[in-house]
Amino acid sequence: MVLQVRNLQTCFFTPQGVVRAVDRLSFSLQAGKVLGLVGESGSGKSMTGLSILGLIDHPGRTTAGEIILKGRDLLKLTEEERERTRGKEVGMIFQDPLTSLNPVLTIGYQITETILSHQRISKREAWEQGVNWLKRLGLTHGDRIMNSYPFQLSGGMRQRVMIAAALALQPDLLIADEPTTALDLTVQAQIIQEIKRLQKENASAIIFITHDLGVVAELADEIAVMYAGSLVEYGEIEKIFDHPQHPYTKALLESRMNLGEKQVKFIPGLPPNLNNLPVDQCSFAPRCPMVCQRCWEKRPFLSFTSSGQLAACHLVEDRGRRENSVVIGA
Amino acid sequence: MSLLELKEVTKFYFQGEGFLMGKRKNVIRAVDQVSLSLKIGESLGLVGESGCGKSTLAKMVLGLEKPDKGQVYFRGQDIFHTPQNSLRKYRQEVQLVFQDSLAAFNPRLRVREIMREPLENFYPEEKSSYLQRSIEILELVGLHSECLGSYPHELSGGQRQRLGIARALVSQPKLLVCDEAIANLDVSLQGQILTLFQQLKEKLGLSYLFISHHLPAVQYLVDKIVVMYSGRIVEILPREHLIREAKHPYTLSLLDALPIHHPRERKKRRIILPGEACCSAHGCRFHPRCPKAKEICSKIEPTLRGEKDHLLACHLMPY
Repeated sequence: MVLQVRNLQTCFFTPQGVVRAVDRLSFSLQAGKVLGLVGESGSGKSMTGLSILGLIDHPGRTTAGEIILKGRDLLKLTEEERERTRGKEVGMIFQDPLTSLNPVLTIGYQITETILSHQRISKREAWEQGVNWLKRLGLTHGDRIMNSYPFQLSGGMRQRVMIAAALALQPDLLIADEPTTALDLTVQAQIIQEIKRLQKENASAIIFITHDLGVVAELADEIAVMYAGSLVEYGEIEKIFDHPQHPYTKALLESRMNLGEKQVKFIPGLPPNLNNLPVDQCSFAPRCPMVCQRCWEKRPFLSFTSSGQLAACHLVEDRGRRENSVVIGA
Repeated sequence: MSLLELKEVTKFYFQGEGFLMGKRKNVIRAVDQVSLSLKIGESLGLVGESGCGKSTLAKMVLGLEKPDKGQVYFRGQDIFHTPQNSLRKYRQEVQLVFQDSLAAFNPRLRVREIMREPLENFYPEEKSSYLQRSIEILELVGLHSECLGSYPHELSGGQRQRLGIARALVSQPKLLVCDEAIANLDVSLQGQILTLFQQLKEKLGLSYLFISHHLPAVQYLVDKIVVMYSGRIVEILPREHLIREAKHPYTLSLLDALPIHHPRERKKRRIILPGEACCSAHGCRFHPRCPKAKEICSKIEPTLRGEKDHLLACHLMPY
């Protein structure tokens, strides 16, 4: 197990109240596997990623839980030790490469700086490593790209540069936050193909954060569906695509549009405001087509479903109880 | 008579190099001899990668960019060769919905004032009915009259996009130009807004020029799909033809680039285009990336030909 997250809780302490951006989240990830973290905007996907990296800013704080990376609890480390894990052990790719790259420094400077901050090698060697990684991402004119500035590259090239910079340190865990959302579909297809290939070559673990279930279908081994800061369904991808158990997962899968569709399906309403969200009810209840009295009175916990994944829904618990399965977290 | 007609519309941009862009160097052929027509009540979808000229084309339809060559006719009137003051009707009937709904509004105006602006402009005599009209239109797009006092940033993304549509509807347009109007929204909101567009089309008889890279959404909403590649139309096809009868290698590769629906489809053979949208100076603009390119493709630029409503610009495909 490369990563184990247990009961992770990240809160923001705002003048309007406490916002639980990530609420009692648990999952684990093996080497060489890809976890797709999906949900609508505001569901806490990115906050989960940032919590693992330890980049939550004031007024937010990770208040509880464990993040165990290769046997070490990241939350128990000092800030300096944590700093050293970033990049080397946990790498991150953001959605918008233009804002994550420094506009006044060349690509080469930024990549070699990254490599040199974690490895004791000469500048020339770092440069060569950088060119090499760019090549592996399909950027053949490595030297030319190393000498250019971010604005001189296209969106797809910039995202490749970001991925190259993140992979150059060969992190044990790579967190990719919507890395293809801002790109054209054709470029997205290329980047996904390359991430898949590199992931196979390096056997690295990846958390792929996206709202696009199609992208998840392309490359994830497991998926975790988040709603209002907590997990609502978690398990192997094929199981969840074949037999989604939580009404939210079902609705998400159904709301994808196919070519030739004459009707658009969508989830009515909006995700809840996380500010002072009631803790003793199911957060999906206001939008759920199968809502019942109990959903307003008690919060459901994750439990095993008959098809083998975990889902947090009273209806699933009922079905499970009939079949004698276990409720965890209760 | 068609509502909108474009005749060999061309727009080139020049990219300079060096300090203060002194020397003219690169020519970017943003839109190159594009001809299109749109009947009243008909909707058109414009697809292609970024940089293919979709937005430039939309700007010319809106009269915001002047074409270098060619004409844009709205209801038979050449909008770039008529005196500005006789274009009022056109400005009223063509409206725009933006991609980024937060950037599209003045942050200091409340919803009430946002709705009032176009009313004051187009209906200066009917002052007493402004509030009534605003509420009617807001309700038409699914917003409550309670939000009249809110500022744009207080609304959610979906509500803001609805407000953008409401503002566009104030002047009772016939043609709505939507430039990536659903691209910034969540999956569930995309569905909601798309359904709204469809309802408005039926209720108000609107025509859309719907620019999007979301092929399923385009196909759902429009009658005719126009595929562009670096400034040129490569294929025009009726919506029903998209799935099985699309012929141009570029259209096919766009379809192949759509994310799969189920993890089981991972092994499906697909054409993944290499590189990024680029413009070849000779021959077919798509030939450097085309999986089927032959010698002729690098020499002669194909013209748009075809039967009835399915047109194609490719040397290799039978018509």
